[in-house]
Amino acid sequence: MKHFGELLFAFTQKEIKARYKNAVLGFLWMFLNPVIQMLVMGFVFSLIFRFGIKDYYLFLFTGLLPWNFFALSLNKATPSIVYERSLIQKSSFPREVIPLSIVLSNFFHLLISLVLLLIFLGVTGKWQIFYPINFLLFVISLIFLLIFTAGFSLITSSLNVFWRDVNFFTQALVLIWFYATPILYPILVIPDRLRTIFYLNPLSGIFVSFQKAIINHGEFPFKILLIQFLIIIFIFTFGINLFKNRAKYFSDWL
Amino acid sequence: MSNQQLAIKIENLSKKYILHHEKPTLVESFLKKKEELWALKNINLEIKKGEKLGIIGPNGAGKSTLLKIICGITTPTTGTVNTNGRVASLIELTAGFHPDLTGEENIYVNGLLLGMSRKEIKNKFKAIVNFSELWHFIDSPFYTYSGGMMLRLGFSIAIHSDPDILIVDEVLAAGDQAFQEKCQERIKEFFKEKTILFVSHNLRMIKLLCPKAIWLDKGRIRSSGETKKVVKEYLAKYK
Repeated sequence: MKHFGELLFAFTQKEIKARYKNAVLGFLWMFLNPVIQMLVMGFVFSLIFRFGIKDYYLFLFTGLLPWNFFALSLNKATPSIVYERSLIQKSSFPREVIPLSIVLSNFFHLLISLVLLLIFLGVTGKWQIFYPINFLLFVISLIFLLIFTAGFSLITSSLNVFWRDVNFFTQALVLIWFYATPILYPILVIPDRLRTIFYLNPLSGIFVSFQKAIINHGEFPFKILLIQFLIIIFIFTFGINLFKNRAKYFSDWL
Repeated sequence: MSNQQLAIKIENLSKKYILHHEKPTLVESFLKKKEELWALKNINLEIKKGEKLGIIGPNGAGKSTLLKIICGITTPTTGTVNTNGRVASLIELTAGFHPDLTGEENIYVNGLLLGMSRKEIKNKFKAIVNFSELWHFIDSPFYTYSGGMMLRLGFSIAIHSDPDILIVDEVLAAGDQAFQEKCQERIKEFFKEKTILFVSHNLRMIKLLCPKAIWLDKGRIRSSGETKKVVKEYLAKYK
């Protein structure tokens, strides 16, 4: 397929546009949703936990916004090939665009809510993130979050065609994964000897980096992050290859 | 014959399906023995550029599977298929449409699915809308379109994708009488120069349109050659 990029872009656009069509407030929801979400989460969780963190609600946002992106993308992308069966049965095109466009459209929404967060940080005088080195760490973590989500979605969406159990498994996995990732709590709460186990989770490094970059909280284990980022690249390449290989037989199983 | 003059070259093509009797679940897929079905078996076929080939055969003979493989929707189990040029099917015209997008947005998505570039679609946009005669509705969401309107737009995009190989079944046109005549007109033009695969149970039409034909039966080519001969043999079996 010669125009893969254009097709992926058009599908992503379709995902975003179709979501807001026929809503009276239309694209305003793109901004309203994350604001409402942050207010509610900040209020509720600040009452329950604090972990002695100053500005706990900010700590929460830095974790929950990327997590929402990951969870929403994975839960929607995993059954996406099965949902688009009629299109796959009738048209030949690179099947990757289906899960990838879902991930990208959610990433677009993440970017919007992050911009809102940055504006909030700028206005309230918390300028930590605007130092070049922190901003670089922030951008790199974002890119790796995107790569990991895309790679993992390619794996689950292709396997789900052959075993529909995968969708249920992923839904359960996302629930557990949330508590296994330092989002509500800082990584430093975990005792030293257990922390290595926590870093087996490729998302841990990404979230620790976000917290370090945005609110300068927690630790920054450079070597562990490097290994995690390599693992993420491996998962992504594995995902692409698995998907390409399986995609040839999708229409036989739908 | 040199490969340059061939539109489609199929060598030793076979396609195996796994028969499902229940939904696939993880446990079952390990425990149950798989039941196989050969939809196509050892197909060899060369179609020249500009040739019009009729494909006949009873239901379940493998016609759809063969077309799916030529379109690239599914992959052969063994053997190879080489197509030379862009393939378009006039059988599924509305597959890529999204109900919440406007006609214009759908033209872009569908055009890209058919293999056109954004620029190519932009250049042909006016022609596509003109042919479909849907000027007034092109910025309306697709769920407000009638079935006939959807088919019109689908047909218009498909023929403007400038295919080299066209797959057509007996439903040769979409829309009302006037629009159907317009479609027939356009298809006649295509018949002059393009490679056509014509799948139909209408043997009279096949004889009229295609000088050559193949008869598929249980996944094999039972007979091929001049359409008159093939149709005669086919009829002889089913009388």
